[in-house]
Amino acid sequence: MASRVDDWFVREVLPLETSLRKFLRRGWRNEADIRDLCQDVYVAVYEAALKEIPVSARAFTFVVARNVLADRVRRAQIVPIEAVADLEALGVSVDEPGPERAAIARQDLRKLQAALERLPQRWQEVVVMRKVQGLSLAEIVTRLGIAERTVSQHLTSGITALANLFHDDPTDQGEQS
Amino acid sequence: MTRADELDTIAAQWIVRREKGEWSAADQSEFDTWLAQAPGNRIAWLRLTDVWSRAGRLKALDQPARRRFFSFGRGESFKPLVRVAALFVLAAAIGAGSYAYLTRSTDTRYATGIGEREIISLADGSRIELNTQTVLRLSHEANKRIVTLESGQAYFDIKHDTAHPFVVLTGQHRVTDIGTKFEIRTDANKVQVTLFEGSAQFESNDTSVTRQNAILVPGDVAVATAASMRIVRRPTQKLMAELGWRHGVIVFDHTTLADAAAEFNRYNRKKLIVADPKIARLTIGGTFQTTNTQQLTQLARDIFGLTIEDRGTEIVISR
Repeated sequence: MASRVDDWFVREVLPLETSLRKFLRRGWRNEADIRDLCQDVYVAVYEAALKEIPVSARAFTFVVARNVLADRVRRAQIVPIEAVADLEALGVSVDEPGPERAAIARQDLRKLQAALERLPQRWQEVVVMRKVQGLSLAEIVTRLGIAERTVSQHLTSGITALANLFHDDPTDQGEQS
Repeated sequence: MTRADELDTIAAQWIVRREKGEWSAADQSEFDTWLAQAPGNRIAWLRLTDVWSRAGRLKALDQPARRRFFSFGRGESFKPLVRVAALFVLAAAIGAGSYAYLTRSTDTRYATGIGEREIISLADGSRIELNTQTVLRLSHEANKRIVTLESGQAYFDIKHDTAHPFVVLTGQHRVTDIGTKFEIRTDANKVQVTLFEGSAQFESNDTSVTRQNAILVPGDVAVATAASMRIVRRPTQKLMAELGWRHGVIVFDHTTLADAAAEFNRYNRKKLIVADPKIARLTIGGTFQTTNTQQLTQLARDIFGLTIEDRGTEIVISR
């Protein structure tokens, strides 16, 4: 069961992250919390799917997102106007398949390259060695002449940042400036 | 650092640890425990692994590899390739029609009949498994690893050698391995490449249409016709089902009776014929032995109440 939900989650829910972030940013101004909110939505969606896989991943995920936001707003005891607005008003159509549905290699590559270019240099270096040049960790250690632990740390940060940048639309930076 | 960021760091550390290569049973059980602790752990790991495995496509940016790739071909020199940005590799010109020279008598030809399978072990440790009705040629050109899949379906488990890329040519397409397990299936008008491990480059090389090119990563299924190529991602279970033939089985999952019959007919001389377009659309599921058509006809009779008529050279399924 878990693996079926995993497959569904990776295939249907994760590709929504760019839209999801956009949605969350309109309801929550503190940029530092966006990734946490995203994760809260994921956990709620995943747990629901363990019981029964929702018919429309997109519609379900955004309903959960609205609830997570509403909950956050209630706990924070502040009420940004946007947070209570309807999905429609936020311009997120839940029925229409988003462009992210078309999982085309070319799009992936474009997004990946954009993400790679935005990585801090030290992380970018090890990610390029690992994924573009296909070197092993040991080879990267030799090539750079630095401790394995340091390479591992850079790679760990690189993987994390790459995922965040991959799912982020650089033109949507909310109100944070 | 936020909660999610901390979680991401731990999940990424697991990815790095696994990639180091010294992965013991104890590591695995520690990892399993962590995964099972909270859905959040599992999600963080799924999310990072998803992007990290897609990042295999970044190999397309490896310029030296591209040059090496283009230098493949007959002796005649290609026009110096314009240095296109890697992103536009899709539209990059490839010297067209350069395959004909490969058809030479020095090749070794392997062919399987209806219902047969064959395993070819190569000197470099690579293995190729041929499914029913498959024709494959091995080229003996020095320092090159080139095979041509003329028809049928084959599974490739290739030992990677950066200096000597393994190239599979099939019709208008070619697949170049980058350390890989993959399967290629050719049908009348399309080629399907499924990637299980590593990565591979898949190119269409039809002179009349826009040429296309993609780096495939595990879970990718590329389907190319003369006019188009598209890539979809498939869940692991479905991918494994695709390889059932290596163990002599076919796996159906919401497969129409028409498609199931066509699949069986690849393996058997006695052909199944679905007489009625209405029943052709009924869907079935399950695992069947490739050469045991009876399993299917029984199911059609017992579950759907259809009539099975054995006419000697063919079996007709009707209402």
